[in-house]
Formats: sequence, C-alpha cells, structure tokens
Amino acid sequence: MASRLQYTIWFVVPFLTGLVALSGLQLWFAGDNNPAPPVRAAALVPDDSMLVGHLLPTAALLEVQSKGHVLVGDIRRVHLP
Amino acid sequence: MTDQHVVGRRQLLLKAVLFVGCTDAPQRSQTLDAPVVPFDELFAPADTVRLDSSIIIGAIMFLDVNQEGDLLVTDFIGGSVNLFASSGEHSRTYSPRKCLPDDEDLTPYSARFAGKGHVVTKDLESRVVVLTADDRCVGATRRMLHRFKGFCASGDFLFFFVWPDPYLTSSSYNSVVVYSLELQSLRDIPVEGPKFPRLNLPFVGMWDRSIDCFGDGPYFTYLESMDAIPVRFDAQLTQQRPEFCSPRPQDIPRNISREAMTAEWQEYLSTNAVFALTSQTRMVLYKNLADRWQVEGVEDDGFRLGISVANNVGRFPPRSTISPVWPDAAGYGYIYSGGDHEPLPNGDVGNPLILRYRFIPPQDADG
Repeated sequence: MASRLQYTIWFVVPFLTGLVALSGLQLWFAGDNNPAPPVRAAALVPDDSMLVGHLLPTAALLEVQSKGHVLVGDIRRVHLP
Repeated sequence: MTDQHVVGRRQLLLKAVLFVGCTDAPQRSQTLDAPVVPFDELFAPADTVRLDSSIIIGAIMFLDVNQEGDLLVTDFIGGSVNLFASSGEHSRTYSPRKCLPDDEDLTPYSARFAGKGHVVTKDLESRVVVLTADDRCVGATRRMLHRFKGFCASGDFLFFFVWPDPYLTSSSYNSVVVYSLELQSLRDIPVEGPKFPRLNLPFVGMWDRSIDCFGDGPYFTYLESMDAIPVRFDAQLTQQRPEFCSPRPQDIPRNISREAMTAEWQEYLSTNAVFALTSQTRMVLYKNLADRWQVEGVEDDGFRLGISVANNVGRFPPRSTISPVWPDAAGYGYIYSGGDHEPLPNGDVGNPLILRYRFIPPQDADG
C-alpha cells in the first residue's frame, strides 16, 4: 500500500502545481494589459435623432451595450436648436 | 489654516481611504431626518453663465466644476471637452482623441478635473484619457478592466466605481478601483454591494454620477440608497434620511422583459446621483418621488426630482427639497443646470445657457 508521502507526491503535488499554473495563466490573461472585451455604444433612446438636430424630450434614457448586457441610465434633458 | 495645511490634510485623508478602505463596510451609527424645505430656502435664485460663443457647444452632457468655479464642459454632440472660467470665458479645448489616434470612435461622454490641473475624460465604452492642464496626454486606455458606474478624481488619485457583477448576491461586496493619473491600477477597495443587485445590474442613475470625491474621500450611491455611502471606513458615520424617501420594497423580479424591468425601476424612488456641493457637503439626487410630493404650479416633467443635502462632518443638519431643476453638476457651493440654447441677436442659436444656484447652508448651521 502506498504511503501517505507517496500519495502526496504522486497526486496532491501535481494537482496543486497544475492549479497554481492555471491561476497564473488566468491572472496573466486577465491583467490590466489585456482587459475585458470591448463594449459597444448602441442606441440612443428614444432614437438617435439628436445627431441631426431634433429636439429631444426633457430627459431620456441612454442605452449602452456592454459585454452582452444592455446598460440603461438617465441622461438629462437635451435641448438642441 | 493655510492652503498647504489643507492640502496636506486632504492627502492624509486620501491615504486613509487607500489603506483603510479595505476594512468592513461602514457602520451606520446614526440616522438623521432630512425634512423637506422649499427649494428657495436651500438655493438662491439663479444667475446665468453664458459660455463664450466663439466655441460652439451642441449639448452639455456632462459638466464638472473645480474649486475655482471653472467649468469643464463635455459636449457629446460635438465630441469636445472645453474649459471655461466661471464667467463663461473660454480657456482651453482638450483633445482626448489625439491620445488614442487609431481609435476613431472615441467620443468623450464625461470629463472631470483631477489633481495638478489634469483632466480625465471617459466615454461610454470606458475609454479613459488623462490630459495635463496644457492638453498633453498622460494616460490613455481603450478598455478598462471593469465597467464603471462613475468616477471621480481627488489629487493624484482616480476612483472608479465598479458596475456590480451580475452574479452578486445582496451580501456581496463591490469595489472602487483606484488608479493613478497615468492610469496604473493601484488597488481595489471593497465596498458594500447593492441591496438589490438585479436592479443595479442593468440600470444606473445619471451616467458617471454614482460616485463623487470629497475632502474625506469618495462617496457612492446605488439606485436604492437612502444616502450616499462613504468609501472610507468611519464608525461615526451619520446617514441622512430625506422626508420623501420611501424605500423600494424589493429587488426587481427575475426573468422579466427589459420593458417590464424599466417599468419596475421607474415605479419607485430611484437614487440617481451624488454630487460634491462643497468638499464637505454632499448632495444626493433622487427621481420618481411619490405623487404627493408634486409641487403645485411646477410642471410635472414625469421625473419628480428630489435633492438632499448633508454635511459630511455634521456642520449643519441635513435638509431635503423638491427640485424644479435637473442638476447637471455641483461644486464651488453652487448647483448648475443646463438650459436652453441662447437665441442670438442675429437670429442664430448660441450655446446652451447654464443656470447656477448658490447653496444656502441651513440657518441653524454651526458657524
């Protein structure tokens, strides 16, 4: 029967080594130099007509598509000539 | 106390935020009621700032004010960031795009003053650029590691409030990430997570306004917050409770459509922003106040805005008011609200006017 020491050497140590290596890789890939996937500005609500000079309501919601989520926030009233 | 002492004291407090902020969430030791008073009891009648007409401003989407009353105007339509003196005279145009020359999509949504006269710009896709007072690039990044609900700057530190993770539970922590002016990540400060994570995942109040920096460090808000929450651990924290504050009973339900989620968000009081009215005075903006707070004679624009004002060191008792104006910025002891474009004598349309309301500290304030 394998001793506890042998068990540790053959199973636990490689397991822990692999775990540490994987964590290291993950940290390396997630570091500040390799940040999250891009986000993309999506639609202006109620529409994107502000770019052509329409008068928007007194306030509106602005949606942004980010990492698969739609994020919604207030923008204050936008008065355009 | 000399300016040098004040600056030294502020740096000390900021370091306390940096190094003590990792302790437990703040203990709310005391709650003070903030009774509703008339708006004109808290703010003097408006005066108008006319921005220099030699610079064309399409729409003021974000406004920041420094301790001298200078205005940093972000025009989301024109994609520009301009500095104006408190009188409205134009001082400088900043050019964040030159710091990311191969990124044509950079359109600054917000810009804030930082230490050493620097300026920080951010777009809705979290491109961040730091510029010196004379418009030289100090730091720029196309993508930040996290999404952020807002940011503020104090001295040489930038504080970015992380958009809560979708897998947060109500007991989880969130964090505020501290960056240098060169956009080096210095550390994460754990802060308490939102009570209602499903509400705070898709929604934010005013974009980039969920955090602001004060003399004693940054304060942040969630949509269900009764008051702004300090990042700094402080056992003596006093929280204020606006008279119009009626707590949201529960988080938004799971597995409902986005339209239903939006309706649920708008159904109850929502905490939209925190502003540093002065370095010691926080102002929190709420919308969707209950119908009974509608002020007679004031047009109901459907937002029902409320404001609370409290002093971080208890120099005056907290107050709240129903606001007829939507504040775009606060600072220098004023709130600022963008108005209509000014009609010019020659028939052209000028820049948006900025209405400025001076804060009147409550009369029973100390000193």
